[in-house]
Amino acid sequence: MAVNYTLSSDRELYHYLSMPEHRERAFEEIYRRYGQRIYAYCRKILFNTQDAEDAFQSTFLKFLSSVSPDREMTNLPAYLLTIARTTCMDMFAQRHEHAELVEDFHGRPDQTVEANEINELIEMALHLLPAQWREAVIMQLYANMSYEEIASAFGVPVTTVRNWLCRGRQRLREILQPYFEERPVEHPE
Amino acid sequence: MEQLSHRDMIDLFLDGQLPAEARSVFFAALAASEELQAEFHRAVVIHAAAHRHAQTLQPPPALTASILAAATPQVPASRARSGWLHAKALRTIALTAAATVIGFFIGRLSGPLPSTTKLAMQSEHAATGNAVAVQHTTTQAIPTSQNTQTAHTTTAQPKSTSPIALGTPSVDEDIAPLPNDALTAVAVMPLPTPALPVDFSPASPQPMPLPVGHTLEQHSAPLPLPPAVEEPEEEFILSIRQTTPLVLRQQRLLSPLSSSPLNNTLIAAEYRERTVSILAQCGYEQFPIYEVTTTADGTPQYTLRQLLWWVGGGMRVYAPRAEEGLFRTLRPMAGIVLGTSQYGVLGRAEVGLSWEVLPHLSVQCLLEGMVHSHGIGTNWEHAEKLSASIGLAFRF
Repeated sequence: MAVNYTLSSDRELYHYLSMPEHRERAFEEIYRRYGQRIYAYCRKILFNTQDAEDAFQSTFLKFLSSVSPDREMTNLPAYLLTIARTTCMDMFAQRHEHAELVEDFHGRPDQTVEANEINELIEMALHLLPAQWREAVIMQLYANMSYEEIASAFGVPVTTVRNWLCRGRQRLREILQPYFEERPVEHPE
Repeated sequence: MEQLSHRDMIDLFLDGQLPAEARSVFFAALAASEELQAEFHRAVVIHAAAHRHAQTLQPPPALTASILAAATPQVPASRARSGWLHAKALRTIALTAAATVIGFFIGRLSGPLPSTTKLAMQSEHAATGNAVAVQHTTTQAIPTSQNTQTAHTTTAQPKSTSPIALGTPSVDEDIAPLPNDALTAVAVMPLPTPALPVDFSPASPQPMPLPVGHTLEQHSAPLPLPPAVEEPEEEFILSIRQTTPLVLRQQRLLSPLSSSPLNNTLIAAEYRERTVSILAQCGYEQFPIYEVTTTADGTPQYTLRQLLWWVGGGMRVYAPRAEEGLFRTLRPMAGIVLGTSQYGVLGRAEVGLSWEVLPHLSVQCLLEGMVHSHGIGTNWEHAEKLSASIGLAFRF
C-alpha cells in the first residue's frame, strides 16, 4: 500500500526512517517541513554563511545517523533544533565569532534598501542580547518554533522560554528605538 | 496565573499566547496609552521584518541535494564502483579490439600495399626481367647456384632454411600464391636450376651456408625505411569514445551507474584540414545536476539527476606529423568544445593523443575538463569534472 508521506505525522515519518523502502521519501518530507526553519536558525546563530551551511548539513546528517527504531519521537522539530543548536555551538566555539561578523549584514539584493536596513539593525541588536535570550528569539522569529519546541530544545520549562522571549524582544525594541524615532512608524505590509 | 505587564502582553499577543481573559485588559491599555501603541507598532514591524527575512533564508539547491542524497539507498561504494569500473574497462577494451580488427581488415583490403612488397616490386621493375636478378636484390648473402628460393621473403618463406633444404626445388609446393598481387608470379615462379648459367662467384666468392634453424630474413640485408606517409590535405573523422570521471567536485553526489553501454559515451564528427579541425560532438555523461520543479503550493523541489546528454561544437589542433620516429603516427592534439545540455550550458577543454595505427583508423586518448552551469531561479550552479576518455576514430 502506498504511503502518503505528506499526510504522515512526524512520528510516523521518523518511524519510516528505519525502513529502507521508506527512508528516502520520509527524509525528504522531514526536510521539506523543517529544512528552511533549521537553515534560518543556523544562518542567524552563526555569522558566516559557509559555517551556517556546514552546520545545517551536519544537523541533518547527524539526525539521519541517529535514527533508531527504538526511539519514540514526540517532538521532531525540537529534536532537530537541539541537534542544530549543539552543532552551531560546537562550530561557534571553534570559530572566532567576531572575525566574520559583517557577512550577513549586506542583506539581499532582491530586497529594498529599507528592508535591508531594518534586517541589519535587527541582526545587530540580536547580538547585543544575552545568549539565551538571543537564541530563543532567533528560534521564535526566524525558525518559527513554538514555545514548547524551544523549551524542549533548551530543556527548560515553557514559562522560562516565555520569559526569555518577552525580555529578549523588549530589549530588542529598546535597542532599536532610536531607529524608529528617526522615521515614522508604518504598518507592515 | 502570574501578573503580566502590558509590554509582556504585546509579545504574547503577537505570538497568539495571550490568554483570552487578558485580551480585554490589553486592548484597554493599548487604547489608553500612546507609548504602548508605539511599542506595539515597533513590535509588529520587527516581527514582520524578521518573518519576511526568514522566508528569504532558503538552503541552496546544491546543499539540499547533497543532504537528500545522504538518504538515498546506495550500493556499497567499493564493490559497486569497482564492478562498474571493471565492466567499463572490459567494454572499452573489447570495443577497441573489435574495431582494431575490423579496421585492420578494411585497411588490408583497401589500403596501400605493405612497404616490403613495394620494395620488392621496385626491385622487380628495376631488374632485367630475369627472376634471378630479383632474387639477388633481396637475398644477397645466399649463394645463387644452389638457391631456388624467391626474393619475396616476407610473403613466402621456406619450410626449412638449411643448405640441404635450400637446394631442393620444392618452393612451388611450399608457397601459397597471393591473388591480386603482382608479386605472386615472382614469388611462385620456380627457377630452372639447370638452366642457370649465371655465375656470381666473383661477387660472392665464399658462399656461406646458413646455420640450421636460421631463416632467410635473418640473413637478408637491412631494408631501407619505408617512406613517410604524407599528410592528407583534408580528412573526415568519425570517433566514439568512452569516458571515465577522474576528479569531480561533486563526487559525493554520484551513485554507481547502471551497466548501459551508452553511459559516458562521446561521439564526434570532425573535419580536418592538415592540423586544424572543426568538430561537432555529443555526449551522454554522468554528471550531478539538480533539476528544480515546483509543487502546487509553490515549494521548490530539487531532484538530483545523474546523467545528462549534451551537444556542442568546437575545434581541435593537431601537432604536425613527424617524418619519422614515434610522432610519425602518434599525434598530440588539443581542443575546446562549447555546448548545451538539457539543463544548461557547458564548456570542455581536451588534450591528448591520436595514435594513427592504420591508414584509416586511429586510437584517441584524451584528458578532458568540463564545466557545466545551469540556472536555478536567480542562481547559477555549476559543476566541474576532469575525465579521461579512450576511443576509436575512423578517418576517411
